[in-house]
Amino acid sequence: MTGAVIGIARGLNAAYFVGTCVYCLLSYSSFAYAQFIKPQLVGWIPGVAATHHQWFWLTVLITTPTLVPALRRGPSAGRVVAAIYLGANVCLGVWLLLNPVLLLAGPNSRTLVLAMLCLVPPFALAVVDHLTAVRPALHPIEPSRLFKGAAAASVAVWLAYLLLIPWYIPRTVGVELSWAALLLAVVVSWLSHLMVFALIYLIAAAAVALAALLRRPQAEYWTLAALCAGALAFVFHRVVASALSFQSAESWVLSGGLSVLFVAVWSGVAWQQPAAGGDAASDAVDVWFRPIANRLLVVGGLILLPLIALGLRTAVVHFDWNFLLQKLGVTLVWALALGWASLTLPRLASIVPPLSRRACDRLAVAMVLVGLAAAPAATRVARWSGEATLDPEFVLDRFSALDGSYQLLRSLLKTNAGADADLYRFLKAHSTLGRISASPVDVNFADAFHATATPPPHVFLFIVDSLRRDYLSPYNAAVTFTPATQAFAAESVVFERAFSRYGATGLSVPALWAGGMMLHKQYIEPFSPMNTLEKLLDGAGYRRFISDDHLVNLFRDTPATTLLDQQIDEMDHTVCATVTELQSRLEATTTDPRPIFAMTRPLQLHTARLVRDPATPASAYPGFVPGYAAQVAAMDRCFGGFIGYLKQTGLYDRSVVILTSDHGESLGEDGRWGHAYTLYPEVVQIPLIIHVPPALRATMTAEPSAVSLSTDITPTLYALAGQPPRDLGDLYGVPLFAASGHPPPVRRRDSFLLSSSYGPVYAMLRHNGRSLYIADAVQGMDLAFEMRADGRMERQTMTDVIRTVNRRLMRDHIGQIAAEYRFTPAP
Amino acid sequence: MGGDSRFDKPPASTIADNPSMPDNERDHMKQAIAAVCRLLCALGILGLVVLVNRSQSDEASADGVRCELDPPRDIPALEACLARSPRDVELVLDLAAAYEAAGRPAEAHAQYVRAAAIDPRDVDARRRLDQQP
Repeated sequence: MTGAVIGIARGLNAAYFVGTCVYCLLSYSSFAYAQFIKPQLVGWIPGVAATHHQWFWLTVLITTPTLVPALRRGPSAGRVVAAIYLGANVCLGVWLLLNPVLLLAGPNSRTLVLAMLCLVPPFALAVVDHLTAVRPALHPIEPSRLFKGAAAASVAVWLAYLLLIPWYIPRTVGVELSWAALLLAVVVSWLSHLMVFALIYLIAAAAVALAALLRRPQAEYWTLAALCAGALAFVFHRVVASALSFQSAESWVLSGGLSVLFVAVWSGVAWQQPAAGGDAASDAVDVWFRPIANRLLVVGGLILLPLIALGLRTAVVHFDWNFLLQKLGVTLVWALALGWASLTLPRLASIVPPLSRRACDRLAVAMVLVGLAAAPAATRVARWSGEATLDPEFVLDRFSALDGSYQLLRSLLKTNAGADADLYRFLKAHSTLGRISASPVDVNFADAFHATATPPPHVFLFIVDSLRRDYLSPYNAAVTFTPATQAFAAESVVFERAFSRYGATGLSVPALWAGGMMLHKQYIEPFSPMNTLEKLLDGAGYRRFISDDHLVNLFRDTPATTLLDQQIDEMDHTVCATVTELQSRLEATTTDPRPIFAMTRPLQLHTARLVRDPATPASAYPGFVPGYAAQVAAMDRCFGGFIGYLKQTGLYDRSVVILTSDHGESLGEDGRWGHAYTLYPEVVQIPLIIHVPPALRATMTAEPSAVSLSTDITPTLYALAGQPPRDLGDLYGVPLFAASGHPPPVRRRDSFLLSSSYGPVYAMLRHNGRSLYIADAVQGMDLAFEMRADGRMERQTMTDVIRTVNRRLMRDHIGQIAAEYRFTPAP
Repeated sequence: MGGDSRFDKPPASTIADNPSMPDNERDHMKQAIAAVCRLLCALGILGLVVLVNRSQSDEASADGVRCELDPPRDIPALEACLARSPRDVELVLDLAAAYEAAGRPAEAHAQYVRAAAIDPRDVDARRRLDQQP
């Protein structure tokens, strides 16, 4: 059995169990469960989960042949454990057939336990691999080897990502760096890489020196393994667990468990590999990197490191969770570079000068100190030059979008203290409250519904998931592919400064229905007491046509409701299919006198859907992301067709038609794609176009250039239905239309809290929608944006005043929500 | 097993102030002290890196916060606030209104023009400019 085959078999075995573990973790995370698992947003996952217990037998089939040699010829202890492992696997497989546990996964502590238990079988296999392998003979690590390996890896990694910058620059939106700024960032990146890898060397060398005191050959090896596990746990904790909003203790346990598993499996594979060249002079480094020690692989890998980095990024960039997968890819590149550099250098002994341990230590300390001085020096260079474009705050942030390795390095090194740390703790304590119990709050814009002289208007509400305002011609003159929306806008009010209260669908749509902000929990049930839209529909006697998605359960099931798109997977909901069904439903009920309310949330622009679409040539939509623009154009055609239908049937002049989205979408800005848990301007700015029946419009006025929010839509519907809503305060919306002669006031001194649906990320919107302050407790950073004259928002230099004022308001607003829902965070 | 002195035969050396200790023990002790020192140094450097990369922002001055949250009404204070935040349209409009109230229409007009330059779509700035002769 060759080492490569064993390696592949162990990889597949670990992939099955780690995949199961990840599924359980996503199910355990309340928002991930509510948004991805339960609604079955990724089509193939439910099928795999349903047959998960059968797939287990495939892992048994793959693993068993690799253990046959050990069963036949291994040491007696090894034979016994291999036999026990196989027997236990068969028992587990039979038990799984009778108890398909994955189908029970949900946001509860049982699922967390299951996630941890998933790590046991591959760990047991790793133990078997160690016990059945020939124990490697080890020499001590030559003192300078670790240093040379780390130094060479730092240069290899830095160079690999540096070479990719010319590729990324034309493909990354919003990263305009002058040559001087680029040079400054490249130098800072180089020194920072040297610093981090020197730090890795210093810690590894010190730990190995301690291990050598044990005078046991294996001690150095296991020390290296423990260091790898620690480093991996740190990366998982910093990069993965925080992005999925796991609490600190859970995060460390999971990160620790996963990293120990990875290290154990890797080590088991390493021990099962045949020793290269008889292994006459192996040390712990040689054995540890055996799985990637093929000579061709070592040389080719180092040369092709940039292509590996590019491939890893390209494979995940469009459906990444705010760089999570990309950062894991960079971690892999770092590990490969460390391995290949460490394996290559001994072969270059004639070229690389010998170094004493003391010299290595001194050089490493010098590299750390120089790296530490890099960022302050960059600030001084910027000040000395007097060039605003060299401000490191912007230059290094933008450069991070081009250099994934530098981006990972910054996120690993960044920590917060004092008021910053205090704020981020506060935000975390009030966010993603999956497992706390909270009672609903009764929200009422009107105490009672009074009779009106005219029947309430029909309402057609199009909440197009992930629709960006700048891909619609009413908001961007460069758009030529939305003629129907343009024509619709000409007969409607185009709100120029519309923002979603929440980034991402999870809380954005329920908040739109509630007409206000809610506790950061998915979901407080029953939702009806907060569902002010439903109260309007009940009070005014609407019959409803609502697309059947995972949020519709927040509405009560009533005879007045007809669900649309029931036979279509949620991710395949499109404007075209929905309006076709809606038209046929309306035609079948033309005699029904009740007013119509129709609502749909088509997902044809969602990242998870777009990656499945065939490629659209870039030349079709110059200046735009072609695949996204093509879907916007398709949506526009069907939307236009439906408006034509409403006109043809005479419904249009008796209808309120709203075209909006629940959030925007990042389409390459600073390397970002999708929306995840972020609140960047392109995510919170939304289109909002409202057509009001002409007779009603003549009696009402609106101010399109004033700030408007997604939570204003429901109060606006109250006003248009002749039920003036009461002012419920800062957390709730207001009508965007008012009686003529009493124009709605511009809320220029008001401040509005915006929030992520899936993480402790909040923003304050102020100055009539011109300024946006974002506090991101996931990444531990804050940003400020200001609206330009053309309506786009531009990054602004952070000042103490911006920070202090917005943080104060943010705490105040979040405190108001907590008070409204009688929520007290754990101390 | 390999032929390294660290694993099999530690080199002989002496510690002058402890002649009663066997050579190999003394050497081992020296190595242990050196290794522990090395680890402490490495951890100290790691701590230094963490400390230097720690972000801790400062609280803004009370005046700056007041301009934003509780803007003044009098002209000198408004001008001082605008010197801090020259692109704050709300302060510009407040100053324009204060100039109007003080009977200084030309200066008020200039402030409305300034507000419209910062935010061409601002309804109040446009409205006031339209109203003025």
